[in-house]
Amino acid sequence: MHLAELKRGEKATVIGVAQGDAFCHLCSLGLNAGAEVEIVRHLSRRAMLIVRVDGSDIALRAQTAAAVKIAQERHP
Amino acid sequence: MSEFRTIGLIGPPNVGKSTLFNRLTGLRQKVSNYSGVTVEHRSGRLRGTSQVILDLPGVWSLQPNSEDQHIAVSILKGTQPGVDKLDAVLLVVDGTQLHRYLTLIHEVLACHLPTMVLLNMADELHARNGFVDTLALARDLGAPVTLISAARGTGLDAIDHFLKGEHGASQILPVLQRGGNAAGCVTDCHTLRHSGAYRRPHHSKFTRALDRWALHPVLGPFLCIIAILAAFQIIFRLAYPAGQALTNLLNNFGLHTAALLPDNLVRAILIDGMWNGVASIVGFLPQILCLFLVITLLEDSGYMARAAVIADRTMGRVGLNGRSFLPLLSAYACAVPAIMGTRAIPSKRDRLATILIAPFMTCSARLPVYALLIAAFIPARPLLGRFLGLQAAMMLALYAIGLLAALFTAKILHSTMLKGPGASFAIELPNYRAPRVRTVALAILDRTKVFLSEVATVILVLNLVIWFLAHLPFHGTQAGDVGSSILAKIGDAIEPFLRPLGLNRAVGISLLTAFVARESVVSTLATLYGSVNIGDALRADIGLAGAIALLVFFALAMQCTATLAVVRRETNSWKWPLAQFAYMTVLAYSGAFITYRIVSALHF
Repeated sequence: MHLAELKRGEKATVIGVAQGDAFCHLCSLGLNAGAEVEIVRHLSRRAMLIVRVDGSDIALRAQTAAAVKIAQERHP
Repeated sequence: MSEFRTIGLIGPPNVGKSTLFNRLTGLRQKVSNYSGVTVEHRSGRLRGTSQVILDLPGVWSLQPNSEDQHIAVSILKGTQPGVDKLDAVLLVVDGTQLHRYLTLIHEVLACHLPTMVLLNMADELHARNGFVDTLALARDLGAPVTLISAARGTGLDAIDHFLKGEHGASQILPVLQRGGNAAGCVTDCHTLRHSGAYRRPHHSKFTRALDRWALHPVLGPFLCIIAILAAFQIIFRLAYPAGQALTNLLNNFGLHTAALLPDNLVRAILIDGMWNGVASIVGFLPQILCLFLVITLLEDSGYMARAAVIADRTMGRVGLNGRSFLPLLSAYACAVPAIMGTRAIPSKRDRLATILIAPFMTCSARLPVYALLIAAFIPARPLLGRFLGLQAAMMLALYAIGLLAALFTAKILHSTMLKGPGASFAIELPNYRAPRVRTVALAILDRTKVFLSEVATVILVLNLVIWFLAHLPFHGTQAGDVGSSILAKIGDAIEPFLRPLGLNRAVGISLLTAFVARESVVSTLATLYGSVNIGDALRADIGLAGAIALLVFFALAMQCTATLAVVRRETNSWKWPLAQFAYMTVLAYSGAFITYRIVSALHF
């Protein structure tokens, strides 16, 4: 599962980021393995995501977010 | 232990590294470029000492996969040609986001240089109830750690102590972490958090509340447009008239001085060749300063990132991303600060593309020329009844032509020369904060210095060259007439090329003089025709089709020495400005040719 598949308000944990063009940049934004992510909102028909990463907000294209693999926390 | 002579300041972008650098050095700094690349080289002397501080490029990690990071790594290793080996390193990171920077901290410490870790924004960390136990962290890292606030200037004495070598050597020398490798961030963060050495600061409630509006699907773009309109109002209502008044004042001063000097060649060179150039550059300044101000305010307050997010979708269609939006928008006022503003774009490829298309935007210097030429050559006929006259339609069309050419060029660049995966876009949304006067003032001062020292000199030299071309050969002690100058000879030479556009020799010569200042097209034409009403004279000569072709040429050609100079400075080579100049001239020529053919065939 990747970051762009999350719905608004859902939380998950980053497992890893696919190596690629944006790899380094995404790491620098805090998208490291173990980071907690939450979708704050979607913009432009889900093409842009506002994501809370370990408490600070970032914005990224859904295309870019697809490189971030996540595992969703199970809520009872 | 002796003092360190050369000290490197390293850290990621946007953590207050430049502010700290300015604090440490005062304004005694040198800015140049590393040989052959566009990365800036800043160095300065530490206040009250002979120690040199190097401001390394902002990096997120030490993996050498970008130009900046490559240079930072080779400086740390002491292999960068022309740069002294570092004796010590100051590593500055954002203390409110410590968990993000542990990887970088470990990478830098693994370089085995005496290093002090500076956690900046201590004031914000405390204000948001965050906590870092610097001693525990220092023990863990094996390097001294201190909390500072570069913006407020607190905690800086610890840096002085460190740089004077007042710590024991054992405390300063870093311990190699886990077999020399950068330790993973996760374990460290958790360990730190569990041991109570680090508590993440609370989120800024204010930022979240504001973002609910600023990033709203409907209200967001609306607010963005209002912010932009306000900025443009300031520039066009205040800065532009101020610049005009300043130019007039300086020109009058030139005229008065000229009256006092003997009427000879020296006077002509001094007043017409040089002083007028100075006057036009100084007249430029209020506008440029104002744009710098707006750009820095947007950057420092944190709104820039939101605007980039909002504009990203539109920019994405032509292969650019949201970060190019504000620079391109400011190019509507003037391309020079816009091109300097592209420094905020992290990707070299996107930055170059933005630089290359910025001059197509209809800048304020084109406006008076358009107005003059349209008033002179385009008849005031109604086009769509009473609502839209031919003149107004022409003005709108010229704006549209510039924009379309920019988009077209971006698209071409994206699919050819600057091809790349490039579809990615991710940006941090920093907390909003009141812009700090000191930070903003220093940034403006810095950019203005660059403009005056590097751009203005090129403009002056080019202007002088064109003035000489327009006035050689001299007749005794008098400067020659434009009509019989070398420039006129060049005009004769290019005339065959202008014929297909419906233009003549007089227009050709005036286009050449327009390099100095676009306004001079009209005055040169007046000189050449020797009549006051050049509109009538020219309309008889080149007709409406020729006049429209001329306007289209103006909209697309890069007739601005200032822009050429600033592109050279920002790309650190003559290659790009020359290529850009050639491309825009070819495009302008083809555009004018097509326009001429179409208008001729349609109507006249």
